[in-house]
Amino acid sequence: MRSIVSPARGITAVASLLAAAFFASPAAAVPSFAEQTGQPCSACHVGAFGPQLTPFGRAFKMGGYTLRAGGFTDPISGMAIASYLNTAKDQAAPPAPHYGVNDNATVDQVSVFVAGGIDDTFGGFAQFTYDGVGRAFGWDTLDLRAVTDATWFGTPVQAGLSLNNAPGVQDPWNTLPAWGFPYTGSSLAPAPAAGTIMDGALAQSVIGMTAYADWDSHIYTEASLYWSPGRHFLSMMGADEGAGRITAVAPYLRAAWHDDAGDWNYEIGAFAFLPDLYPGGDASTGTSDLYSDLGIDASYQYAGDSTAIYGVNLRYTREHQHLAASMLLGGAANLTNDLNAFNADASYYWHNTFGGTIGFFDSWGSADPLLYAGSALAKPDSTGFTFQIDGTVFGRDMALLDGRFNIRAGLQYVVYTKFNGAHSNYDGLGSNAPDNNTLRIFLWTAL
Amino acid sequence: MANHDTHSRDNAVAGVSRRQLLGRATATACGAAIAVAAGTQSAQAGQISQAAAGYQPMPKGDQRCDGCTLFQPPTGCKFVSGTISPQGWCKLYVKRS
Repeated sequence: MRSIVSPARGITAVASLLAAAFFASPAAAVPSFAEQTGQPCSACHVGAFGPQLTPFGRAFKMGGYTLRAGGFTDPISGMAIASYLNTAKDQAAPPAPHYGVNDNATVDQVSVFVAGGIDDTFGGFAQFTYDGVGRAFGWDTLDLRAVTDATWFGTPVQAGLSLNNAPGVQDPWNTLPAWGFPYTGSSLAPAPAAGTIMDGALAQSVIGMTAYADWDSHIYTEASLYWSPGRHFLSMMGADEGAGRITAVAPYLRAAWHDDAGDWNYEIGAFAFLPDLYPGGDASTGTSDLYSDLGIDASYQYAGDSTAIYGVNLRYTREHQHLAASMLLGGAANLTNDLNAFNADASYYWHNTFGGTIGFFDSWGSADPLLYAGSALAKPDSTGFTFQIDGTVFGRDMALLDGRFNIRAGLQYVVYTKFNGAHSNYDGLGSNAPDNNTLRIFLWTAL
Repeated sequence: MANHDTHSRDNAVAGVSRRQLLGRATATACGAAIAVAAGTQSAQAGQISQAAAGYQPMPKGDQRCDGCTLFQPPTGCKFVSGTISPQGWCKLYVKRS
């Protein structure tokens, strides 16, 4: 989903922007690809529903979405998510207009996808979403690819280009924030104020060109450049500049070692994103904020004969912030800050039908009374667990409408042991971290 | 202090600003999305190479091509190009139910 940001000038919204992005992982389920490949959802997705990819799904993505079983297939798909949300304690104010302080039911989003592949070279998808909470329409995830096979330095290589609109969208694993657990969330839920830039703070606010190469099916390498399109274009697309406007271009680098042993597969990788931003799009200070997000990640998946599928995803990100512009604009007290984030999840799926996932998240870093003004300790620290159980009706051999229709029902429960700096009285007003514990029941369908 | 307009002028190159260039690139991307949709009508069966699929001519454990739903006897695959051994394996393996 798109990050939601105030259009206000300056950087005062940076922390809240990151909060909005915290649980706003993009949701995607693209039945057009099932029809194109002639395969059920479970061929590409663990649990028979996106976006957690199987080895087949990763190969399909790295191959530019070009695998095709036959002739013409319908490139249009639809997706919708609705949910009910309850927090342990009423929120201080309604999380959005038209909603109450607790027990909110909503249509989170309705999306349309244009997706498909052309011959063996071009493919991709473009997602457009109606945000049911923000009551606004805009572009969502974009990933357009061109691929080829080559032999470089005596090694077979699958190489490609991706034009996308969020760092990490192009990634074939589910370890990075763009496609990481939880795979669906609600902007009505309370969320920690701090998050790294990689955590979706620039999603749908930038355009990126990625060149990638997978060497001998073992070494994945990638280099990208991201830039901020004009405000007029972003406005037309129902988006804004997110956490800030990239001053020129921002480099993104990725490398991973991966192996597939048949029954199981794993990946170990690293990533770097180095955006130089005008906070809130404000260039009036004549300087900017430089972020350095460096991270490592790993994943393991055991699929066996698909009767029991286990998966683990790990990610650690260290962000160094040099906030020269934010200091001048009164949005940060320190010239430099550090922010760390660790995320882990482990899942089990039975016959690609019923699944359970436990996620752990932990963030910690420098105290900054202006950047983290909502924290009595001025700290970004938040810790907790996300539990999810879900059931997916179709998506395996049996399916409706030529395999296009699928539906997942799920229950999430987020538990906070630390929120915005502390467990108890984190805001100086008597609020405790568990007050934000959130139950969410969701229904997610694709056609 | 510079404002946004002067910033745009600072980035002007050969009469075309960086913002305009990026805008055009973005418009091209959206056009490509439409082309993807339109192009599916003329698409041929898409396959990937054996190298990209991580194909090997021997089994991987108890997984082998003739037990895969994508295998097309006697020596073909729906998605992997070239001659495929029934005893082979690749990472696209989908167990035949």
